[in-house]
Parts: sequence; C-alpha cells; structure tokens
Amino acid sequence: MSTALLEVEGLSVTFKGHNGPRTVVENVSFRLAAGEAVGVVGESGSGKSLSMLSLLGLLPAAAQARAKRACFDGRELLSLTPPQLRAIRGREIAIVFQDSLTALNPVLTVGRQIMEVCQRHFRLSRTDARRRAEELLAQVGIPDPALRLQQYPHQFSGGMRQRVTIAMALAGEPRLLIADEPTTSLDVTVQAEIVSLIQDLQRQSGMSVIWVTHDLAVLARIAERVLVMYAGTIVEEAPVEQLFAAPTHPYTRSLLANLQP
Amino acid sequence: MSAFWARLIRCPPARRGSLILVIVTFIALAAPVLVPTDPWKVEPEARLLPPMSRSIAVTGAHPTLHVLGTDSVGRDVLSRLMYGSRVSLTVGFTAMVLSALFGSLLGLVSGYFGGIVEALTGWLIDVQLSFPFLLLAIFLLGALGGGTAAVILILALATWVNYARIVRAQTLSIKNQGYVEAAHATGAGVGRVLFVHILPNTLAPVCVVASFSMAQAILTEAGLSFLGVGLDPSTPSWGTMLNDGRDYLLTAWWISTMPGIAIGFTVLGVMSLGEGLRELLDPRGAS
Amino acid sequence: MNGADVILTSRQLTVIYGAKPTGWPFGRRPAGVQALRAIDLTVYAGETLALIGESGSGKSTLARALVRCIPASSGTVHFKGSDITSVTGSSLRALRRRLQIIFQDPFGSLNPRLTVGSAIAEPLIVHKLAHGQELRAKVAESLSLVGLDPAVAGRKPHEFSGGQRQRICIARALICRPELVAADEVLSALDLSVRSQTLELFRQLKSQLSLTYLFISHDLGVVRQISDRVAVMYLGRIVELAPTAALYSYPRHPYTRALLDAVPVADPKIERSRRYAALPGEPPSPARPPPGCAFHTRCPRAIDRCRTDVPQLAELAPGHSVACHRPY
Repeated sequence: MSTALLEVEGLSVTFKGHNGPRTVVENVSFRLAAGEAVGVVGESGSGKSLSMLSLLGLLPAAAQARAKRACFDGRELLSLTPPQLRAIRGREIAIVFQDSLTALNPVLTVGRQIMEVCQRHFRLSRTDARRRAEELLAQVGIPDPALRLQQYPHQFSGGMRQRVTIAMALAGEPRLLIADEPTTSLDVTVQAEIVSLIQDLQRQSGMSVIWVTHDLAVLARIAERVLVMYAGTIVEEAPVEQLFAAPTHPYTRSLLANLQP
Repeated sequence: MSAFWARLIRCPPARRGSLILVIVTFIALAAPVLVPTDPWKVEPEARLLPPMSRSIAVTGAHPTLHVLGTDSVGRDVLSRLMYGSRVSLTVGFTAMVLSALFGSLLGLVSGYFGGIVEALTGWLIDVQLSFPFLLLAIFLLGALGGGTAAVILILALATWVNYARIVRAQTLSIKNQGYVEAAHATGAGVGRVLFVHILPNTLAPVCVVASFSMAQAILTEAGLSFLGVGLDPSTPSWGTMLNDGRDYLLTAWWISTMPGIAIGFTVLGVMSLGEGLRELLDPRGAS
Repeated sequence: MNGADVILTSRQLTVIYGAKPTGWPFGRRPAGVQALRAIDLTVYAGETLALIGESGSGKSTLARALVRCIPASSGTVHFKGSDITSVTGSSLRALRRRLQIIFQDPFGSLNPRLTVGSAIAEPLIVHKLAHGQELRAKVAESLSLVGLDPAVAGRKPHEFSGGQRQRICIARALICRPELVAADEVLSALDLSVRSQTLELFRQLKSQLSLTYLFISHDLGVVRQISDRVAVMYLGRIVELAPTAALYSYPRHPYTRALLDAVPVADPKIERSRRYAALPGEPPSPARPPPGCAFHTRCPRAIDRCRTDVPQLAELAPGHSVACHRPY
C-alpha cells in the first residue's frame, strides 16, 4: 500500500448554538492512498459532507473543525492560513457539488469559469487557457466544446452542467477529487453516465476520489473502500466487496436491506 | 407561542420597544387618573409659565405645580401631554389597523388572482404614489371637513400601499407552496385557501410593516396638526400642541418641545419593536 | 386483471402547459409545452399502477391530470363510468373526496402555522363531514392508522421528522376514505432508512382500506416492490405498460432496457464486471420534441420509420403493451 495521500485522525466539527455547542461530526478517522477511490455513505445529518468540507476550510462561520491530524501530502490542512488553503483548493483538492446550477456563476460563460481556474493556478495566457478549457470540455464528453464554451450555465441540461463542474474541477489537475453527492439530483440514466465519466477520468489521471453519497448502490460500482457514517461518526469501514457481502454494523445492514427488494 | 415571547424578551430592540410602548400605553389608559390637572382648564393668568412653576388656583386651594409648565392659554402642559398620548395612540393605532386590513386584503387578492385584479391594484398604487401626499391630504381634509375620523382615514390612506406590496409579494411565493397545492387537492375553496392557508403565513412581515406604519401615522398626524389641517386645535394631541407652541419657540420653548420629545420617544419605541420583530421573524436568523 | 373493475380511464388525454397572457399589452399567447400527448390508460380497482420515467416524462402531470388537479387540454378522463374531464364547482369538490393525491415534499406540504390535527382535519372541514368531538375522534383514528400517537395532534409540523410528516400527509389524504390515491414521489425526499417503513405503511393501508394506487416514482427498486403493473413514460407518452414481473424480467422497449440497465446493482462483483452502455445524447426538451418516436434520437435500434411515425401502444403479450416499431 502506497503512502497515504490523506490522513485524517480524530476529526470533529462543532457548531456554536444558542443552547451551547453542538458536535455534528465526532472522531472521524480514515486514510486515503493515492489513486484510491473511497466512498462515504450516510443519510442527511450524518455529517458526511461536513467532514469533507471541513478539510478544505469550507465550513459555515458558526462551525469549527478540530482534528488530531488532518494531513494532506504531509501538510496539516487545519492549520493552514487562508492563502495557503486557497492555493490547495481547486489545484490539489477539487470539489464537485450536488447542485450544478448554484455551483456555477450564472452571469459568466462556462468557458470563462473554467479558464479562470487555469489562469489562476497555472498562469496560462488567455489563448492557452481557452484551448485548455476546450480540451477539458471534450474530455468530459460535451459535444461541440468550442461552441459550448461561450454558453451560460442555464443553457445546459442538468447532466451537461454537472459535466461542466467536473471539467472545472479537473482544470486544476487535482490529486484528490471530492464528489459531494454529484448525481443525487440527476436522472438515473444521466447518473450512470456521470459515474462512468468519473471512473474513466480517475483511471486516466490517477487521482484519488472521495465519493460522498446517500446511495450505497452507486458505491458498489465506483468505490474500493466504503466508510459508513451515522450521526456524525464512522460506524463501519470495509473494502467494498466485504461491506456488501458481510456487513457488521446494524445500520449498514439496514441500508443494504433497503436496497434488495 | 410562549417560545416566541421568550425570544422577544431576549432581543434588545424588542425589549426596549415593548417597554416604551407599555409605558406610553399605560399613561394613555390611566391618563384620567394620573393627570395632575384638567387639561382643558384655561388659566389666563398662568400663561406661559416655565416648567416646575406654581400657579395660584382660582378657587384658592393650594397652588398647582406645573411640572412641564403651561401653554399660551394657561393649560398644564403635562396634563395635555398625557391626554395627548391617548389621541395620538388611538389615531395612530386605528389608522394602522385600517390600512393593514385594506392593504393586506388588496395585496392578497391581487397576488392570488393576478390578471385584472392585480392590474387594477397596481394602477391604484401608482396613482396614489404619484400624488404628493400632503397635497392629497389637505385636499381630502378640506373635502371631508376635518375631524378625527377624517384624519384617521387620511393616515390609513398614506400607509396601505406598504402592506399591499408586501402581502402581494408574499402571496405570490406562498401560493406555489406544497401546502397550498395540497389544500386545493383536498377540495378547499378559494376563501379557505386565502384566509386559512395564505394570509396567516404572510403575517410575519406584515407585523413589521405594521409597527413602522404606526410610527409613520403618529408622525404624520403630528405633522398635519402642526400645519393646522389635522385635528381640531382644542383637542389635546401632540400635534396640536406642537402647533400651539410654534409662535413661542424662542420664549416658551417647552410648549412645543415636550410633545416633540413625547413623539420621539413613542416613535422610538414603535420602531425598536418593529426592528426587534424583524430580527425575530427573519427565517434566516439563528433560532 | 380482466375480471377487476375499471376505476379510472383516460382517452387521448393531452395536457399543454402554456403561459397565460400577462395583461392587455401582452396579448400574444406563446406556444405551449406539451407535457402529455394523447394518453390512453386504464386503471383497475385495487391495483397499484406505477408510473416511472425521468424528468420531463410527464408522469407527475399524468397523475395530476387523472385526479383532476390540473385541467386537461384535450381528451377525456372517466371515473367509474362518469366523465370527469370538465367537472367544476361542487361536483369537483365532491370528486376530491374520492380521488386523493400525496405529494413529494413532506416539508412543504404542511402549513407551518396549523397544528397537525388541523391539517389532517382539513378534508373533513372542507367537505363538512364532521365537527367538534366527532372530528377530533376521526383525526385521532387517522393518526393511529398511520402509526402515530393520537396525542400529537396539537403539535406543529416543524416538530416532526420528514418520515413522520409524510405519515401526517398520508393521514390527511386518507381521512375521507378515498377510492384512489396518487402518490407522487412520496418516498424521494425521505431518508433511506425511513423509506422501507413508509413503503410498508403504504402496503398495509392499501389492503386495510381497499385502495387503488397510482404510484409515481423514478426509483425502480421501490417500484418493483410495490406495484402490480408499471407504465414507463418518455416525453409525455407511455412507451411500455406491463405487469411488474414481466417488465423487469423482459423489458421490450429500448428505453425501458436502458433505464433498468442504468440502475446500479448492489453487488460490487457484478457492477465491476459489466460495462454500462450509455444512452447517447441528452434527453430532449419537452418544448421541442423530436418528430416521430421521441426516443429515436437516442435509440440503439432506431430505423427510418421511427423518425416519421409515432408508434402506438400495441399488446405484444397478455397485459404487456409496447409503443415501438422495433421492440425486443
């Protein structure tokens, strides 16, 4: 097993509330190797999204994250300054969100938004950035990329828009892609395509993927290891085949029971 | 409901506003009992006395202390101030209620039905807003012949537009909510949908508008009376008191200043309460 | 199925969504979007008929049109023999008692200012069926029917979880003992662990109250568990209609095959070994449907005829109809 790309130990997230602090994520620990695909499954309120967002400093103002270790490639994520975090976000760790419509700026063309990533992290010239953006759109399977570059987010269908956000995420050539429920609001056929797409991209670039979802079945396809979260903690962690064949925790069992008719 | 009151107490502007309003309302209600002398009693030899002066009562009883002085015809300013609170609060509150009822209703139906109802309401709003209000007020007061009822009507006219706009906007968004659709699916008629489902859910911003519009009504009444087109000058209202003292601003400043302070104090209370309500009812606020 | 009574039928049911003209200067009426195109459907008493499809398929519109929540632009709907296509006023209100619909969003479907008891009592109040003590008793009965403690009737919706709120919506829909209930994606907004319980409740209630269900969902797994027959919809038309077992074991329409194929299987070994054959292109917009068979732009089996002729539903096996020029 190669050295871990991401090592998290004892991660917790607390919210400041009117009635005192509320811990929503408690003692989350896991490791991620380079090139590995890990799935995180849990329902709403399990803390799965918050745990991942906290690593990048993307928590709401009222929340605070603490960890014994949160090490990405040797760097302690939680003790980085904002400029240092900004250098990592989009470049080494990229995120794809659930709602592609709100993840994209409605008044900027899609090309401009992708180019922004290229120009910011790689200091490319405008022409080079535009060429790169076109390449990326083609890579994510959008036909007519040169034309589509000049269109606005609302001119794309849901599945296409999600491909655009994936292209934006790839623009930084990240080593880790965090996909936070990227297919939850998409139709079943479109979902299958997006899953294939991310799988192919992962194989091509060797990046690691953390796939956060509430649908365990999707992970059967894309994950090598699965973390099951419930009420803010990890209740089970296993290689994917073992999890499906012989789950140990009752919650995992109930999730699986819901899947098989 | 009790949770709401608990939050109200904790919120500083709401607490401040409620306290002020409670004081003013108490004074207004208890004025007949609290008042030191008869506010209508004219004492020509006690005219323009400064605050904390005594006057010899005509009947020979012990001299009355005029805590806030007397006005141009010898009436006790403090007593008139207390009675004035009754008038100002009544006028302000009634105008607020009338305009809230009229404006909300119009906003509700124009938001729900759209079409010609909405077009008509919009036109009405535009017409009213395009007139300078004071001109409209003076014209209407002349036509209606003055008097308290007329003034209340004018004040209601001044503020109904605020309610109509807000309620219409709220209605437009609420009528697409799931529970309205569910009510339709149950077979509820238009009346039930409007008054049981939509209107109660528009009340939050209406409360806020109501407090601000009551402040506006009090100020406008004062302004109209100050200009001499509002209430009858003998009525002890803060506005008429302001008008009384207009000629004596440099010599007997207390005649206008005291009601001015009273107006400021009350309006501060109302606005604070409104601001507090806005904070409390804002769904984005931390619960 | 042939022996069962027909409870609801539609003939050439079409629904067009068009924008209303917005006042006298804007007199032009823009071309509408056809959400449903000439649907012929029969629903039998006591069955659970599922409507599946992706976004833009028209499944929600069909359910709403069948229970008269939205008006039909053309075509007819018959309920137990009588034409309900254009009823209005008090007849429509009376109809509401017998045809009910439960919506997807348990959070938005309940008025936040009313207590749960008032929400459930609404149908009784609207149809003047009970009041006072009798009303309260019926509400309590409804609450226990869906597995909630009758004592919670005085609480407000925000005090309940999503799954509980959906139960409250079910209680509201069933309090007048309707004959047909349309369930529009009722499980989609619920957490996974709650879905199977709620599904079980639906099954229970169906047999307890002799209901007929129109079950709309995009979740093929859930549909398989609860329905007797399935209608697959694509861009406003029914492309396949079959008993559940037949549909899942031998889908005949290329779209149904693609749909079933796209659902991930909960077995990593199987998932890793198969290669999902993606449907090329994007689902077309309902505003600009392709000519002929709407699916031909993405169909692996399209022939020339598909570009020009709209296929009609034809029965290929007992109870199994397909609208395709080249079915499997």
